[in-house]
Amino acid sequence: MNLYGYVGGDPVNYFDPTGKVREWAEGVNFWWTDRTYNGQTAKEACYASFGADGCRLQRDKNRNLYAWTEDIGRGRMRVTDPTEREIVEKGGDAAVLAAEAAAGRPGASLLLKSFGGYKIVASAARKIKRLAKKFKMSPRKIIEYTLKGRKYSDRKTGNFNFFRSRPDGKSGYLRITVSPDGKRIISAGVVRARGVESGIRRGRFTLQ
Amino acid sequence: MMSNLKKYIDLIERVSKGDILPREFEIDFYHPYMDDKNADRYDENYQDFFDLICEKLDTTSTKIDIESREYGWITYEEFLDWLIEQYTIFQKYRNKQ
Repeated sequence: MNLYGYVGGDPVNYFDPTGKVREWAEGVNFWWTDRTYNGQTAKEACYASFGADGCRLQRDKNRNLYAWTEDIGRGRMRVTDPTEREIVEKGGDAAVLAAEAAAGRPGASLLLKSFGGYKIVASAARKIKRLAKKFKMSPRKIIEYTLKGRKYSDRKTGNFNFFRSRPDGKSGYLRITVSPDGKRIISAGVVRARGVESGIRRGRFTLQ
Repeated sequence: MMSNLKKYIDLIERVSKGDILPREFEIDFYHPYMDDKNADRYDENYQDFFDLICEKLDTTSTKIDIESREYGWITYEEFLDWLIEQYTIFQKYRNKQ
């Protein structure tokens, strides 16, 4: 039995904020659309997997039916495309992780816990994951890339910001913000060039 | 150029009225504005305001754990309250000009 199955067997680099379930960037869990799959409706498939007590059904604003469960023991997941749906139906959480590893992106569905000596605050890890998707890089690469940028102290917040030009060549910077004690990555985002320049000009940002 | 500026203001008004969810607002506002080649040409007051919104969104999340909260993270509901307040201040400032 793998005690750390909920973090892909890697408790050092990934974490589960609730202590029980895997975290996906966008929230809810396990769903199928109204379309039948292997002859089952969303409701039938969910009930077959998790039982009536463990399964919930709801519709989104586009009237798609979602079947999902909060606690499926092995983990918590949202299935976003037919490939992933198939993986989950065949083997659940472990199969997703195995498929990610086979695809060269092990643990892609999990959140980074630390990097380069920095602990990563859970909400920041979610944000970094979104940035990774936007810039088609892994979360690790996003952090590694941005931390090679220039470091500025932020007079407004007391934090430190690493700014590095956007990897897609567009105007602006990627930003990683580190706590005042220098131990935690606490947020990340994109900043317009003007935002950084005016921050420097107005004395908010000071080069370290 | 101006159509994008109008679009951003429209998004702020729509989320303020509850026509769209804050998360939908973030999707339609954050990266489109960050990627907007013409943003530097907008009135500086608008740029400051939009930059401020994006900075706030950088510490906004669906679920906030205790540690994140310690570092200033807020929920989308709290973001919406903040945005409505800031937009009211911004409009008063604009009207005085």
